[in-house]
Amino acid sequence: MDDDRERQLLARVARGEHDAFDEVFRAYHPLLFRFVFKMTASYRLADEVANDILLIVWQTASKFRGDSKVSTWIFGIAYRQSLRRLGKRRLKTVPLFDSAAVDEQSASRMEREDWVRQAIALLPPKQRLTIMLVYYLGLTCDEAAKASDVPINTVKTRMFHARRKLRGYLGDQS
Amino acid sequence: MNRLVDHAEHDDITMLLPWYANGTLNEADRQRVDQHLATCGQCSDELSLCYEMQNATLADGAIPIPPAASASAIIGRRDWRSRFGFLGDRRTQRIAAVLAAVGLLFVLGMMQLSPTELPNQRFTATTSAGASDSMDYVLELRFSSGVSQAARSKILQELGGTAQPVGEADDVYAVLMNLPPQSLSDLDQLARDFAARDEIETAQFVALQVPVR
Repeated sequence: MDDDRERQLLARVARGEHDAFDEVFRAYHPLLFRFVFKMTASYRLADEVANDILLIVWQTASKFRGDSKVSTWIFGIAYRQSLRRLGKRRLKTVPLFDSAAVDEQSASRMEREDWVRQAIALLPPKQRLTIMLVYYLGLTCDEAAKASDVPINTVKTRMFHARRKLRGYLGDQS
Repeated sequence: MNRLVDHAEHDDITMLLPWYANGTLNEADRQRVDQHLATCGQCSDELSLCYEMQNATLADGAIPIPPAASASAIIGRRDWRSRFGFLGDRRTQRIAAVLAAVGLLFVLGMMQLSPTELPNQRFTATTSAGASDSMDYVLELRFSSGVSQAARSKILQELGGTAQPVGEADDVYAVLMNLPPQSLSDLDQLARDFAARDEIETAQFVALQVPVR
């Protein structure tokens, strides 16, 4: 769905038109569910947060200022909601293994991709969410900055420090 | 001077690599990165890591199918919240939690005083001929999403009881476990121990089987 179409839909959502919201819902719910599930690894929480995000879209559509794409605005809500929930679930989102315990034996056992995925899960929530905005949702630097409500340089720095940390976790030479 | 310029360019390019990897750089920046990568091994390594992160992030293997949800249900929640929103505020929740705790303590206290007069309402009695020195407890187990069938079978075997799926859900099982008679707190502790496993989302003893006389 292109941005013009989404703007028209959101304007109708702001007027309380249920069928317009239904269309937005069907377009975004699966994506938001996967986005949150990847962050929390909880089916129930992913469903709950995805629904919360869309409820906020329904309630605040009239506040959309139009200075970004509709998708960026919705992903911004997703970012904030996920960050809020990740903060509460800090203990539950600790991955299965301790980074200090990654040894040669486990390295040989695990596929590199799985290893990278688990190392990403060790990163601080803001860095993980920024990674998700950029790599999973494919946002530009400017869009990621708007969604996170931070300056562009902050987004760049988060991605840079995330790589530094990841190299540390993975034991890569750099 | 050139070295300074090169260094600044290197730092700038390093920051752009994630967006080179996700394909959203504008054409001018993409060409700058291409030119720099041709001579900078460090940035090539960085870019490899960016691609690895992207692949790890995009891999969808373990993601379950989202639940069937509807927009009208969400809007319904909005209406519910607007009518009963006060129930969701922190103060009300705290008061409700305190009242619930007091109520639970009262019930537990009554059970200690007269266990036969106040049966535990949490447990549903089913009928079966059982031994008097042990009891059959029904543990309802919900596996975390993404746990393979093989891993589920292994855990169910470890529990040692007979297990069967509950309803049409493929991730919830009722496990019949024969144990010495347990106190409520012991059962809760046991259930918490099960639920502490990463493969298990929730565990709760929901019923016990009593002998038929």
